[in-house]
Amino acid sequence: MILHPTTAYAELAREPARGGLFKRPLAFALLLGLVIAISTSGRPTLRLVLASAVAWSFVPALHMASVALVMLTLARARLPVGRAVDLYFMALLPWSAWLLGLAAMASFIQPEHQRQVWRIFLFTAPVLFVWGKIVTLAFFRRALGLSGRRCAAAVLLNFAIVWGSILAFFLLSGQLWPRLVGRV
Amino acid sequence: MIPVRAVSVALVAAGLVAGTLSDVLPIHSPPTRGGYLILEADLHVHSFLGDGALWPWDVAIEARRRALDAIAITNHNQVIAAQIGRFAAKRMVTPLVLVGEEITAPDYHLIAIGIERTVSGDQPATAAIADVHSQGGAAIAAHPTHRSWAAYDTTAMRELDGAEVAHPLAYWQGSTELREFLAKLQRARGRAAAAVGSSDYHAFASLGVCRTYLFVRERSEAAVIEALRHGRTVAFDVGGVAHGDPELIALLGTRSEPTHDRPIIHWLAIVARVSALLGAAGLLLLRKSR
Repeated sequence: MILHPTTAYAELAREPARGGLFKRPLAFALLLGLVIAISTSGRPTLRLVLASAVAWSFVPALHMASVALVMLTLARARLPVGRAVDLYFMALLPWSAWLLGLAAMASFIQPEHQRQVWRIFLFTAPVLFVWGKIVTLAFFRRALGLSGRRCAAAVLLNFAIVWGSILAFFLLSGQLWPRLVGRV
Repeated sequence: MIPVRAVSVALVAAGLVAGTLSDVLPIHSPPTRGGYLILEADLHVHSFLGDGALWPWDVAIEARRRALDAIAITNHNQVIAAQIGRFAAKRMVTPLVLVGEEITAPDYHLIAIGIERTVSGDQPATAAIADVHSQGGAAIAAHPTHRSWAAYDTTAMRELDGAEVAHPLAYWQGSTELREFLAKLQRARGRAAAAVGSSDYHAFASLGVCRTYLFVRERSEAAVIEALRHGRTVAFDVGGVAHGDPELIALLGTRSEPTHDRPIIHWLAIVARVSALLGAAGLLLLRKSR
């Protein structure tokens, strides 16, 4: 999936459906909880994993909403929604692996040197972003069978819902704009 | 063939069990010297519902793990998370949680501590400081590198209660500008200004890495604000240099050692995270054995 997403999705789309609508989104939320617990307190306590998973569950929820919207508008009746969501969340594999690596680093680096973790985070995130989009594109193309133009529209819609919602929250709550235009 | 998935699940489960068992929180007793209770505080902390990773109450619990006696939750231009944090902290054995805000304007960032309603960043620093004071709070210049100096005019400098002299940005940028700003502030005020150490915590494990020693009469929110307003603080910059009233520095002596878990807890936490990380990586990256 990570290295050959097009082939992987072409094969997976032919396989019978497994798992439910919420299986992978839940697993992704738990992964976020695990990553946050390990990177902040150095140990995966059940309390912190579950609390952080709940807090950050808006991320998988936004991803699910974006798939549902693509299915409704661009890829009607190509796949059952549950199966599409299941396949879509496989595209988050590069992000998931990256987050685990980051958590491992953060938990072993002294707090005084945490800046290094932020630096790695900032420099590698764009690579992950592009890589993630390539895998997502493969999902739209091979799993949903969208044409080139619809594929581009689906990627844009996906980006607008997932990243646009998060940006909109920070913009509307006045937390982002002063920092974007500021010099401090 | 090794059942990769079963082994991975077992590793994650073992990690969660070991991690939960290692979740032992120390109880920190602040010392009393010269008639003052000396509280260790991190007065610039972000939480979820803003751009922090943890729920406000989980930040308070992590603060206890790091032997902090007080924290101020200071999300950008909002106080909701801090109010939730204070509400929760009153019902748990955690450090004091003060309601704060990082007033975020294009040309300055200002920490407001001890406020009840949001202070707008859409106004000059002087007006924002006046608003903080009108709510009974304290105003601290956040990471005042030279790029923000122009925002603080003569009135603002006279009214500011303190400045962050210890901040993680100094680990890569040096402490010179922060020290110079504090010195300017002391001169402008003509009286003690609070020397503040804060971690500007968002994520990872840096909570409390820079901290403020507050000399208070009692362990309360009002006493923390009073100490800040009167400059009764000491902070060690990243070079280990103490800032604040020399008498208070002498009273404090050396700064506290970083807290460490008992060896068995320390190793249990390492086993827990390695086990959970390996298990999660296995679930993500390895194929099922058939």
